Amino acid sequence: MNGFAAFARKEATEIVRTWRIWVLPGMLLFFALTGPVMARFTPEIVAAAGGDQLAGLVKSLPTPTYLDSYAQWAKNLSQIALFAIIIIYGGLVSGERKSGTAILALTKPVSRSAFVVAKAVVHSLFLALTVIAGTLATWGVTALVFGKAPGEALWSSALSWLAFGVLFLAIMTLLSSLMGSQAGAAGVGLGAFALLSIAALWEPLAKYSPVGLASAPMTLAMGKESAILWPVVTSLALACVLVATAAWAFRTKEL
Amino acid sequence: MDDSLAGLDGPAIEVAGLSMSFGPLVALDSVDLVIPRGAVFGLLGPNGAGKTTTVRILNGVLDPSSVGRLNVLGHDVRSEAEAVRPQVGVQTDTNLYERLSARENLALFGRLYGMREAAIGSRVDQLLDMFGLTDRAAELVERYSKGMKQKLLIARALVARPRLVYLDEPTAGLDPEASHELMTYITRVSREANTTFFITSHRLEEMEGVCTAVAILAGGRIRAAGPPERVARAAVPRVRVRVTPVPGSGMSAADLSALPGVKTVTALPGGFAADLIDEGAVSPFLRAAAALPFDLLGVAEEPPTLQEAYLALVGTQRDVGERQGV
Repeated sequence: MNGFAAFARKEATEIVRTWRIWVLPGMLLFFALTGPVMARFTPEIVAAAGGDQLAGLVKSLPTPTYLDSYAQWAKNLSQIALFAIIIIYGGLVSGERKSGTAILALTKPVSRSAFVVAKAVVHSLFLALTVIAGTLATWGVTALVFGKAPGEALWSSALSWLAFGVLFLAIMTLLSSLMGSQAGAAGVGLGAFALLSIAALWEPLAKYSPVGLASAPMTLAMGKESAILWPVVTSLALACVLVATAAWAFRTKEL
Repeated sequence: MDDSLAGLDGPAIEVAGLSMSFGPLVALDSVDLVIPRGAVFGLLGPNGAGKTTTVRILNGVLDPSSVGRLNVLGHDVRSEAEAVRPQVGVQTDTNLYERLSARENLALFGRLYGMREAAIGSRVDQLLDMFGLTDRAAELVERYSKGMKQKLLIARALVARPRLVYLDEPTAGLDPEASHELMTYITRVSREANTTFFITSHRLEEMEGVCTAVAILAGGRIRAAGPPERVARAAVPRVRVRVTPVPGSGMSAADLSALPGVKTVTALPGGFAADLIDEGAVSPFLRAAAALPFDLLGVAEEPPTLQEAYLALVGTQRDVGERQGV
């Protein structure tokens, strides 16, 4: 794949120069810092907001634990972060086709596959760094506000979600290779998310396919057991297949 | 095109029977081109003539509807594009990476061509200096003016010292000084490094000055091709001599009309233009004009310009198109 290193370097530089560097990490860091605090003080917040009217409800609330903080983080990843990936990366390849820069892949001694694969790899690494940083922040703040923060539940949850996030990044890479419209690709991406969430209800499928990762991060964050080996392995394998398909689609597409 | 244009080392570009249609629209119709290595070739034509389509096909970006021969630097573009691309530089649309600096844009292309980092650094510095971009080399391209972007696009096409360079309207947006520098550079590099330049442009005066060969494309067909002066003479069949008398000498159009071989004489500011019957009439006319009892500042043949040829050929094409309701 001639040109992979050059394209990867370009892609990394562009990340630093665009709003992506602020939106995704900024958003995740905000939730990572505020999530544990919100989890710890939920009863107090509800009491302050509802006054005497919600006194009964406040009394019935269980005492928050570090697991509530972890669950908050897993929920933010599974919903807000995933939607952000779908929307931001809807134009990952088509954006360059529109601006005319993608044509470079054809008129230079580089492979078209390198152009697509470099994008998928660099943005997957960017996502991984962002999730790891956010999880570290969640871990630290949780330890501060709860005085206790065992790592296993949090990290198994976050890393299993990361595999799901990488899978969606690969889905968006393929969709943006096939479709010219960022909004159109994002719409199909959201549709794929809805389908996976529904399919996760069928246990055998959830156990042995990427579908399982739609709910596993939350289960793990709550300190429960969830078999994630097959979902993670199949997610990463499917991500590779999707990126390879995106590269093939880009090779055959007229620019 | 005239085969005499082909160089001894074989042509840089050799196209025969190139046709391209987009649905019912015929963009190119049996185009033949032979461009020698080291030539500065200008493809001239009105908007929609098929110039950009030709460049895209020669780059392997677009597959032609039909073609007999499509060779670039000795390789068939359709089957050996990988062999052609490392040797070719392209400046087309404004497809710069706007969130990278000028230096980063140029360096990226050096890397895409497989240049070594040390070589990239010195080449980038050289090009930034040549195009007057050194002071703003670290600035993001999105903040550049149109002219600066145009300079950067051209510099980018030249990064890897390609053997063949495609330039699409290269002086559009450039100030006269930068245009002049670019034309001087093109002439020098084509001579010193035997680099072939394939330029599409509307700026006929610039093309006439820099091109060793031109082709005029209109309605998807080559209307004329060859060295600019030959194209001009073929398209504009007139022989004109410009006579410039000393101001106040009293020379009139009638004095020149009486000379041998003269068809018509037109009075111009500061002198006269005498149209002669043919090439053979030039020498007798010059001798006779010099013998007239008037002091002259100059008597010189005024060959037809590329612009006149272009207007004659493209105007004819448009007239035909209009008559046919095209």
